[in-house]
Amino acid sequence: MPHDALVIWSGFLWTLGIFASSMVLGSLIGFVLALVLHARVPVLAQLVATFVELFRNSPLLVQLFLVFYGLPMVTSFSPSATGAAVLTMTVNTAAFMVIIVISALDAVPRGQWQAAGSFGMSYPQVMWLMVLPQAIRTMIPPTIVLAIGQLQTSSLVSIIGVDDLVRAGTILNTRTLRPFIIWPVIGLIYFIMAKVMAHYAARIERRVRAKITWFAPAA
Amino acid sequence: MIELLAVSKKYGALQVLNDITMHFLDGEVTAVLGPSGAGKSTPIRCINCLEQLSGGDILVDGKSVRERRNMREIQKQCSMVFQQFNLYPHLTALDNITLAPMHVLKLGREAARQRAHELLAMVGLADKGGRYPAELSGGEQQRVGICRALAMQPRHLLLDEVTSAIDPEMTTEVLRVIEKLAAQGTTMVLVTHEIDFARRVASRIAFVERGRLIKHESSVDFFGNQSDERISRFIQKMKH
Amino acid sequence: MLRSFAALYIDIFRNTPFLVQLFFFYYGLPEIGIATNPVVTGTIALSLAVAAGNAEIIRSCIETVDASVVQAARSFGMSSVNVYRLVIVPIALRTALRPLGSAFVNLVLTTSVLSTITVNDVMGNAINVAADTFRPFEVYFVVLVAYCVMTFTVSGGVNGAHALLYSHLSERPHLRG
Repeated sequence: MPHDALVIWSGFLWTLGIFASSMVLGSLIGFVLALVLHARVPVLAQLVATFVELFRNSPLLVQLFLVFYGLPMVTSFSPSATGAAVLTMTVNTAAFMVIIVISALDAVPRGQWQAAGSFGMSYPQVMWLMVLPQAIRTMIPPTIVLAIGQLQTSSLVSIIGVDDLVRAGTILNTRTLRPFIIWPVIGLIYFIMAKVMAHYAARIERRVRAKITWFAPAA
Repeated sequence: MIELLAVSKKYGALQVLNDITMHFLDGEVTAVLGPSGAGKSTPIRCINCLEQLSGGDILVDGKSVRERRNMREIQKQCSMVFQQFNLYPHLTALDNITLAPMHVLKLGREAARQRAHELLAMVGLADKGGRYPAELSGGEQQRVGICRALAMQPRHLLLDEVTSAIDPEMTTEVLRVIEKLAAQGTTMVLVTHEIDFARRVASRIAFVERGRLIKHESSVDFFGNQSDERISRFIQKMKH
Repeated sequence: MLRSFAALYIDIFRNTPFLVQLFFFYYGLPEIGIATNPVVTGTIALSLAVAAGNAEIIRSCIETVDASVVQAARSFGMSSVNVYRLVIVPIALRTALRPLGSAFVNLVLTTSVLSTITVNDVMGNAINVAADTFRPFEVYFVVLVAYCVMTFTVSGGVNGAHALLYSHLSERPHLRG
């Protein structure tokens, strides 16, 4: 029994690590890409748009296989299972993040752009001083939803061999042959992680709302 | 006849209506006037059971609103036209009007549509039956609302600030319809702040202030021989 | 009581990974004597998961139906059943069209997970083909694009349905006032 707990614990840590790192990296990258898209940078914007469409309209599993099994065959890049997992999840998260950011930016009323422009403010100034503070507030709830979703989908990395929580479950399942206990337990751990995340996210949202309200009292 | 007997209504700690007693006789057009927030709309919402009374009772043609089993019957006899129109957005104007008659009065589809067409013609919207509420102007939507209420052929028509949410240019068309109905002898309770209109259309005025019934008299007396100072000033103020 | 069971079911299925749910059924069902092929098991698992998601969508759409409109319907004496059937549900479903479409897209993508329990769906076959041809990159890339195509088709369908339902709104500018 204690050994089993260790296996689960190890898997839990791996899941947490992969999820957290890909979420953070993916969000940052997605944010930057969204700005590129929004600013309509000549060639890059189109590339970003294509990238986003490809990665949000295809299953993560396919993306994982593509990176882990496919890339080594055509390039010299041969990531480990974990490396491929983090890479793919980061890219996947980034794609969804772009959508969230763009929606949030679009949610800021057009009139503000016009007003700021009429005062002679440049695009970066408007963005940084006016639009982003408001947009960030709008971005938080969907990002939380995305995070909870990505936590669940991260379970797929077990398929390419990463020793995450699901893999721990598979190992224990094969050994103890008690699926009715193992899988609900694994599921419960994910469930608790999701709920804890949602709880803290709600707190953060409240704090951000309190701080930023004076920027956009009507919104 | 609708009788309000010592009606009172509280929302939590707020006393919205306080011991109101009055009757609305059949065939009468009564305008309920008063300052904003005086609780003008609340009594009529209690009449057709949309709100529960805290105290007192209302008898609609002898039936108490406090008894659940009367609700259906009362609602069949009292139709309401709402300030915010509240039309069903997913149905055409025609279907908005036929919905309740078909399902509450069990009218057949053809009969219901026939009635709806007649009503639309009466309010001047004969060609707009197939339009959805989103395609209609405020005045048009409200007129559909009036048709919807009339389609039930109610004994009493309750109008809750029906012109408040409409642009001034469009209120005329709605008021014209109400005038027509008044001339036809429909019993109406009209909550409004259009003083001039109330004067033209109503035979009796009920003045409500801060949840209390201050005056309930004939229109002639109310506007012609007003003894109360405050009310006189109110009338002057509202006359633009 | 039925409500809390439903709420619990939805909560569980929405906050646990589909893969875990799938494995639970795949390994668990035989234990209680239900032995079926992977396709059936996969379908069951997927149905339960999707049902939970859709329930959540429809519930929130029902809640956002304008209460005053519902009140108006009630004020004419319509029974609760009729109000639900003729007013609340039609309005809620129209609002729910887009989110449900999005959930359907998700469903299509999630079917790929069934490959892990040996179902020969697109992904399952892709794995076999990749193994046979030793060209995983090309295979998986094509499959990626194939899923995109499937997704776009579904989205296109949803957009079409949406346009159809709301076609009357496009005429708005001409008729106001």
